[in-house]
Amino acid sequence: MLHLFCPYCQELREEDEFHYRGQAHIVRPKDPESLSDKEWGDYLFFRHNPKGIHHEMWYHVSGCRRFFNVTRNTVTYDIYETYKIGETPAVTAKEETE
Amino acid sequence: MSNLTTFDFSARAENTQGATRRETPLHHIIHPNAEMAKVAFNEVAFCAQLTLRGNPDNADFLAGVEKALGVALPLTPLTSHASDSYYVFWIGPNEWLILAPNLAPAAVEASLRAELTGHFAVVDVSGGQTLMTLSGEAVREVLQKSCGYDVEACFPVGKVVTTHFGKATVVLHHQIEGTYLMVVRRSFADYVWRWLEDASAEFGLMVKGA
Repeated sequence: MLHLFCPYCQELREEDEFHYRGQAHIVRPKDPESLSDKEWGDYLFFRHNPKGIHHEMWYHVSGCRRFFNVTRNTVTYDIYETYKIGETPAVTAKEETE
Repeated sequence: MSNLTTFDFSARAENTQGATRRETPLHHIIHPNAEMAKVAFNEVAFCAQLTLRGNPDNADFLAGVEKALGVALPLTPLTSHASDSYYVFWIGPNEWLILAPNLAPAAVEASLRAELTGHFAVVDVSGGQTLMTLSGEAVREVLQKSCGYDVEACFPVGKVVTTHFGKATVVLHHQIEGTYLMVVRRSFADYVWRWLEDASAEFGLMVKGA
């Protein structure tokens, strides 16, 4: 059972109250018409599957019903931070910053 | 119809089957006396309930709500404000639940619409959910059995949390010391009642009149 800190409720809650909603920080292309099929396919269907630090969206469905982001380690299940939509993560994997 | 006056009711209570225990079809609803019950339940029927949404950074919106209701919106997460007529619960960063047990929902909505302009939403949700109060000396034990939320450690008077009760999503409010308000979706109301009946069986459950 994960304990997640909801940045809107400002409180730790049990995993039961949340839904996982996939990879965070996916930006919709501004001009989809100009993309190749491969680029559009990448945007729609392909997601990172890192071993280690992962930024992901969670939904506080049985609480304040807001989406927020979580930086989680997919190996150890450590949660490094939770932050509101629109904010940038403080903890990033090495290859992301290079 | 048979003549009821000739029917021997005393035979029902007596165990005439020797070692076999007899149970009536409704034996499970027999609860301890009201004096022994440690959990008290009450439905606050037909309480006006409205969902209000708007931008908390908009000073006109905040002032308009305060003027209409006579009570300011709680802006701190998980808090509530109350007046003689209203409870206002923080639900989310731009969402509040207004309860008015003694007012007509249409009147509350009209008073808000008269004061508010611009981008906001007020919706009468009275028909979609119901309000219950839970009290009694074992109420905290029942809540701890039923909710994943830590009711004992971090639930002071005035706090509001949206969480799980059994498998239902409820809005839980600590009204006064030892008395909790619970807002339940109408489709979950029967489930919550049955859960409560089972969870409080060991303490004794009493249904209070409205």
